[in-house]
Amino acid sequence: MSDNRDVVIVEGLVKHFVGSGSTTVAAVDGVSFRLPRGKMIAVKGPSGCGKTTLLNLIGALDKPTAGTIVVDGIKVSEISGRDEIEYRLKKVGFVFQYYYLIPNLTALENVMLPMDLTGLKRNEQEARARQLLERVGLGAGHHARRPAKLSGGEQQRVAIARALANAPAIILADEPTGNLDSKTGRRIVELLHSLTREGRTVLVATHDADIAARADIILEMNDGKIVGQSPAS
Amino acid sequence: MSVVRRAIRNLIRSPFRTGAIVAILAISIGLALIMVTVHGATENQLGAIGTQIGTDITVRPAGRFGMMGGNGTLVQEDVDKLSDIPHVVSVQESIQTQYTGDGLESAVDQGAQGGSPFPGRFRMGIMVMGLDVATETPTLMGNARVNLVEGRYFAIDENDADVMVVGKALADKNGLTIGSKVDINGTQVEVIGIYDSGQLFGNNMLVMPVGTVQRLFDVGGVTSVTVQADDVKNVDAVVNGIREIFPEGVADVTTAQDMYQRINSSVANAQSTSQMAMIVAFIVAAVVILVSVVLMVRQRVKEIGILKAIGASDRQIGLQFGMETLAVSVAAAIIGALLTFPLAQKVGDLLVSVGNTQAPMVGRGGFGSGLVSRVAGINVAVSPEVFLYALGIAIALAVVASILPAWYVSRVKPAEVLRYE
Repeated sequence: MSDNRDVVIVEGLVKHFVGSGSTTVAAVDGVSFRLPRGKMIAVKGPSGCGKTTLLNLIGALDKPTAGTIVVDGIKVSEISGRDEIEYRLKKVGFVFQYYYLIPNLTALENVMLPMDLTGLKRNEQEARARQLLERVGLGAGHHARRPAKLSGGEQQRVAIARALANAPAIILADEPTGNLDSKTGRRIVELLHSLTREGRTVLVATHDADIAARADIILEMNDGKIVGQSPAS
Repeated sequence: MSVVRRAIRNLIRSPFRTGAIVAILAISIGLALIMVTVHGATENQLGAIGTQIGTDITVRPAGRFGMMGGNGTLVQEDVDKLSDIPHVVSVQESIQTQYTGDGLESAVDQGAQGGSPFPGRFRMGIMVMGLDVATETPTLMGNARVNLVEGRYFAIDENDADVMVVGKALADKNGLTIGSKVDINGTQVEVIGIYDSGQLFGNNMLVMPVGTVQRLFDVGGVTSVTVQADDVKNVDAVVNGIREIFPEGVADVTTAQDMYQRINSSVANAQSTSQMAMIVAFIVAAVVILVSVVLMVRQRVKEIGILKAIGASDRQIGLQFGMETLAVSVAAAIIGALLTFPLAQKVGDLLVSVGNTQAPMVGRGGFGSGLVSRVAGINVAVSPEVFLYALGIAIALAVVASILPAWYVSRVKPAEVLRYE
């Protein structure tokens, strides 16, 4: 079943890693699914089930061993070089469990960074970065602060604003609440879900049942395979 | 947020680490610049002296050194042929002999000079120098100068006149004044000048025109001839011409260049030492910057992963690290260049003094020591151009040191480096 509303199409995706003693481990083992535009999808499963690897493959941070990935019309599994960099810069936005902000840049500068990489004018970068920080709930008083002066929840909001900087089609969030208390975590999940109202697809890897419950679609993984999907496609 | 600003922010983030790298690199670059400056100064010094004295050729009877050794004199008839050699500008003759008569008493007491005192107050003989009347700056043995304190030097038509100029010590000892006459081997010779050479031995001499010495002391030739060539590049040709007149075994022919090389061995040693030190300093600077860059990129591998994950290209990340390396190099180069100004002369003097200890002929008195004293030191003038050299070194180091992070950045896989905190 195909639909032109599908923003992510994954077919027969396989990723093998060579483990110790030259043994091959299938982190992602023949996965296929389609994700519609403007939805929040939770990839749920225990640690080591392949959630992060799946997100890395979709985000072109890693190369699949086999299978195809198409995101917003781009064959991610086949791109390389300049196209791959363009894809990471403009089509996807990453949100990590440990935020991964650049420590010596302010919150504002961290959000401006992806725009700077596209060559956008500085005043336009700044205006959009301020707008995005307001959008994720970080007031002007926090814009000039460096990450070390922000709480975990505030850092994750900056990371989300950074992920939105170049208006990507898809946000990939890997355990975005894994380092936050439950109350802050719920706010971050709400923030991520709110992005779907702007037509973005948000793919969240989590093992937290509460987050999964807030998702529009849940993909359940185990041992590198999709073992369940709800609602069923 | 420009790459330059990001680079500077990154450097400021770790001030102690950045400061330590800049300090070590500044010392290395400073040392290299000092050596470049000293090397240039030694080259200038050698070149200048070479140009100044490089055309003089000395001819002496074979084996003769001062008053000692050798086979008597150079035959006058052969000496007269020297001026016919192509490229010869001037020929200056001189004779050295000793006065052993009773008309004068030596001013130098053997016992007074630290030698073994002889019974009966043995006195040194009085040296007689026959000099060319046309010599403008008459020089005695040991490069002592004839600085007249009274009277005059010889006129051009006095080559065989019974006149002499005497050293101050000798004049004082014998109560000689201008106009005094002294019996020299049966001829009354008039004192027309008194000089002060500044040396005890130099002031115990009689100076007469060459022709006068030949006549009074019955000498058939001269003991030394200085031939001047018209250009440094013609010195060898003139030497060949001299050799046709005075073959080996008859005369020793020494060019000023030979002497210059010998007496300037300290400067030459300083030059080679500075060259070696310059190469070592460059290598140290390159190693310092390479090690610091490797440490920098390895410590910031996660940052590289983040930048890649948000869409930075290898070129953009490499450029940022390159800018950081360049900023460190330029800062170190400026400090290194500033260090050059107060230290270059000191290092130059140190290298020359080391060279002196390695070259025992230099600055130990004896023949040519006066010349040595003028050339053994080097004048190390640091010009503002040193900043241009510094900038060149900084850019070269930054370019070399940027190759490694560029290669390293291209190998970083964001999925791997961002997997674990």
